[in-house]
Amino acid sequence: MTNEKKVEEKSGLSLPKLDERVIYWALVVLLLLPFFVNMGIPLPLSPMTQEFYDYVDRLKPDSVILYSVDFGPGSLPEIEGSIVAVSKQIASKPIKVVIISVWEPTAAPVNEEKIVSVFKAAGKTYGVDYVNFGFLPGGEGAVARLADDFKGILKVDYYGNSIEDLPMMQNIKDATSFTMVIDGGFPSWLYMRQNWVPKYNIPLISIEAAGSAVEVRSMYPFSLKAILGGARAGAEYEVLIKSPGVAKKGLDSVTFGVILFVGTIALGNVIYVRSRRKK
Amino acid sequence: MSYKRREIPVVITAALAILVIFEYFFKWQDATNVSVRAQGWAVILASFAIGIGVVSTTIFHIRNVMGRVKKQWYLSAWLVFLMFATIIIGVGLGPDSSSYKWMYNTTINPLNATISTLLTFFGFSAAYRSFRARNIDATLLLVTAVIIILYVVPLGELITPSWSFVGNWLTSYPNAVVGRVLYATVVMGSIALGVRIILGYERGYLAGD
Repeated sequence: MTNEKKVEEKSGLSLPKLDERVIYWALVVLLLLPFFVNMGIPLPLSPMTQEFYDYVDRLKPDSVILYSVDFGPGSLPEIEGSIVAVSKQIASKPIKVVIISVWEPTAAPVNEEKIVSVFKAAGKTYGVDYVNFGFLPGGEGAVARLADDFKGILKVDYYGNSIEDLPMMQNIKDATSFTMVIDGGFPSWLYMRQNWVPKYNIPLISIEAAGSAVEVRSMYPFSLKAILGGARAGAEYEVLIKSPGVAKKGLDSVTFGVILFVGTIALGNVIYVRSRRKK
Repeated sequence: MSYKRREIPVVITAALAILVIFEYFFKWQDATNVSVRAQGWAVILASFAIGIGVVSTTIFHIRNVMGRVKKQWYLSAWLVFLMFATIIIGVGLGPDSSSYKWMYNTTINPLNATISTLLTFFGFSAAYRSFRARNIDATLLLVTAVIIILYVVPLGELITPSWSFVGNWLTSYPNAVVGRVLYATVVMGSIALGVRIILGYERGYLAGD
């Protein structure tokens, strides 16, 4: 038994006396509450979210973007708002989109559900306005090959259609055929940064979970031109595109979770400090 | 390991590595053509790895079923059944078929999200037990973590508008600088490893050597 443990037990304020189930139930209640009650928490707009929005907004008609999104279902609670909102913005513009995932095999059905469905709802035509290539195995090597010879590596789309039968793909040769890369997920952005940015000078912007957003910040604003990070950015983006969705409620839920998180850390430290003083 | 099993793979690896590096920095169409083809092989090999994964998983779990391993065999049987059902439906009907989508949306999607969510509960429990200001270093870490946590949700800015400035400064300067150093050292290490592989000093990728 460590000295700290002994001190805590002598003081009668040892942490194990706080039943974990109390924290778990408190967390469940706090996370669910915002989905039933409008909490009305104000949401100031972050400059980074505005920057990301502006990058997409500045795309000229008939621009072609590579939309490489690698979020599995486990990331959706945090990131769904962002990818749906960005997809809605893209779908509202006369630009062409190539959807793919290069890191997370379970991302292809997620992209089908959360991105392709947005394009369908916006009346976009498959093969003319957007194409979905599903998951491409091979990691960084595959991404490098995509940049050098797009059609050399992708012969069919996610649904088995030949790339030659897709009108939009007729003019796609290599990375120079694209105006911008929007990447989602870690570490696929790294593949893009290393193989699309320095060699072909293609602007790269990235959608990340909150944790990864802090990490990729080291590449901003050099090889990453903008970052959309976490549940908050998704909620802000919904405000920017004037299309309220799940992200704001999700963010309120995360905010309540954070209150409990910080509260439990504070409680643990108060008990710890009091224990030390009693000793 | 015999000459053929050691030197030949090392020479092939070194030749391809030099070719890909050369092609990256110099515009020479013949080199580009060969490099692009070699990278295509890498993609094909990676695709094969998925197949090998399916085979090895199947062999492992079929053995469990055949050996009636206690408290395991029926789970293994269920795993193999679901895996092949997914493959057959996905390959047979296509990934946009309603059956495949139903399987994904009603099983993989919620289960994957559930596992991730469970981690949140463990994280909470661990945080309140271990995140303590034991000394100056730990206090610094604790304070910074709380600032960043409250920065990534609007809570910090609701407490004081300056919170955003502090959070932004922490992520843009100390965090970004350390991140850049980390990436730079990783790159330097990767270059050193690449040189060792090209020269044949690093042969860990050759089985049995």
